Amino acid sequence: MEAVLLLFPKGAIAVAVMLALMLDSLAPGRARRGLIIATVALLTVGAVVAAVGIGRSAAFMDGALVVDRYSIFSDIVLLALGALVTLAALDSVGSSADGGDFHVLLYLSLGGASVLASAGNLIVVFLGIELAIIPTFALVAFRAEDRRSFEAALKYFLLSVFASAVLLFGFSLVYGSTGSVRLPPGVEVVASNMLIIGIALVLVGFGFKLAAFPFHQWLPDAFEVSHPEVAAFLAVGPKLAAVVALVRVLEGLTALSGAWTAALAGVALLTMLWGNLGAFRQTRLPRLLAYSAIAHAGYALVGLAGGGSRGMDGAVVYFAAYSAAALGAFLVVAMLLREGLGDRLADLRGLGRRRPLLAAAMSVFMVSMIGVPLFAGFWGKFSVFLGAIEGGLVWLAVAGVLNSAMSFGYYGNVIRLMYFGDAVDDRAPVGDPEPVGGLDAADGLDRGGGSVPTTPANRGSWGQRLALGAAVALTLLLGVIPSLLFGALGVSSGF
Amino acid sequence: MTTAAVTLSSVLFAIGVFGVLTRRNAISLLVSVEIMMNAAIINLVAFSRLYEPEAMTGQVFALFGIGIAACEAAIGLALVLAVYRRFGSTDVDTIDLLKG
Repeated sequence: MEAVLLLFPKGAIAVAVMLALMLDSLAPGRARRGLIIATVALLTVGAVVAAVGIGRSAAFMDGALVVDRYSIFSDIVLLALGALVTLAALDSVGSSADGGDFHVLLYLSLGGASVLASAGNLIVVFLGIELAIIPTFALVAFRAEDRRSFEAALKYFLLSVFASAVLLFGFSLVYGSTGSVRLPPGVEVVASNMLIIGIALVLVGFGFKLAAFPFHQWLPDAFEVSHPEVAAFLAVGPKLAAVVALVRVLEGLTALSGAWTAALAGVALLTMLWGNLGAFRQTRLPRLLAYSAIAHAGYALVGLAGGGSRGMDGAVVYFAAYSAAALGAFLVVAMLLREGLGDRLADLRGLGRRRPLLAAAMSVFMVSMIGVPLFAGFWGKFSVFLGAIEGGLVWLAVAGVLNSAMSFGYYGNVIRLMYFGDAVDDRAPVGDPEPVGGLDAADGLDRGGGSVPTTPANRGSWGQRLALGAAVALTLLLGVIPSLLFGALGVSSGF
Repeated sequence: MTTAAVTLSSVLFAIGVFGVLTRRNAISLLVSVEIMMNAAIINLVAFSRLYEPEAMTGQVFALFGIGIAACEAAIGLALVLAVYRRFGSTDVDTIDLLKG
């Protein structure tokens, strides 16, 4: 009975994949939408059941699959994310001609992430990562009308398989020096050159999956050209699970923490810095959010570098707290595009007057990403910085706080443009110079503009509004009642 | 025996990395990555013989690795095909509409 309870969330994802496979056999219409909504309900139930299992733990298949507080926490976040992304995509990519494939790929990746977060040995870690990542190559290439999406997908793919090969080689060396694939190894770990090289290669592999510096180049392109709903999923889903898996891998090797703490701390610092500095230069909202996603992975790595249970918990909590804001911000992009308002920063001017609710929601997400207290993002930052301090890395925590302050520059700019920017109705002749990014006219895809008037018909669909409302509610609720966030992980918030 | 296998796999891995760094054709890059994967698989089988010849953990790992490599090749070649149709080239340096 307990096994059914604990494995229900993974089963729900598996059933969701099967339901999605049936989607294409239904003609567009009520039955098809009904099936999609049933899938959303199934995923929501899965998240609730996962929450019921908080506090329990069990191992399945000779320890290959572990359900513990980390995996339960990840399941809650992942299933909720899957449900909200599906809702958000209901009337855009979800109902397009390839909508069935979109759902299948999304849920397969979701299932991979869920397995990855529950991995009890290196084999399952590898399988989980690949299952979480391989469908996303196709998801990035999903905007077939824009040939740049294939370019981004190909580059993402090539870098990713390279990282996978490095990761597999690293795993083989870890296995070769410990004699065990289990996590934790269950044998005494003796430091050897082979093990250190193995761990270094494993960190490189994970660094790519988390888009940490210097393995981040794929991310801005992939986020810019994919559907915003896909970017919202990519920013959180696979990364959260990869952080959990990295926590598990590193936990078993604490005897060698000296070897990887310094490396992780350096990578965390450079990732934060690179993401935040890069975000300043961006003129398009999706690219700004992409660089911000890089920076946020850096903050999570601060917690990991701190080591210790608080730092490791902090890294996991961080992604959960960030997920609501990331999902919401990409949803705002999706709604702006749907309304024909464009996704350039300049297009945000005057949004506060034209669409007060949308602008208010965007402000909430930006403020949460900065890490202002009483918003969910604060608690993520709070716990990773505390973890770094407890791990003796005070300088890294200070660097993180300074980075957060710096990030106010571009997040605040978004808010400023929405409320204090002059609304320019005839932007077309003046406007901002078309940013670089190879958006040549031959692509025939000018996403900027603003020529389409906002009518009730092209305002956000109810699915988008519902998902946006849920993202706002979660950002505020988790910010005001952090014990919800920490309690789901089975730790006290310290307050 | 194990030393020989690890030496072989390290050389193969280095060849693969060299290929990734020097080749610019998407298919050549994919082949280089496959060489790297195979280096890891050789390692896994060799260590499996060394540590637990009966349990065959490493060999199971190797089989999964081969399966994953096939999945990657399948979706990768599909992407290369799609890119070739739209760009008329599979050279990653000439496909540069994006900033990177």
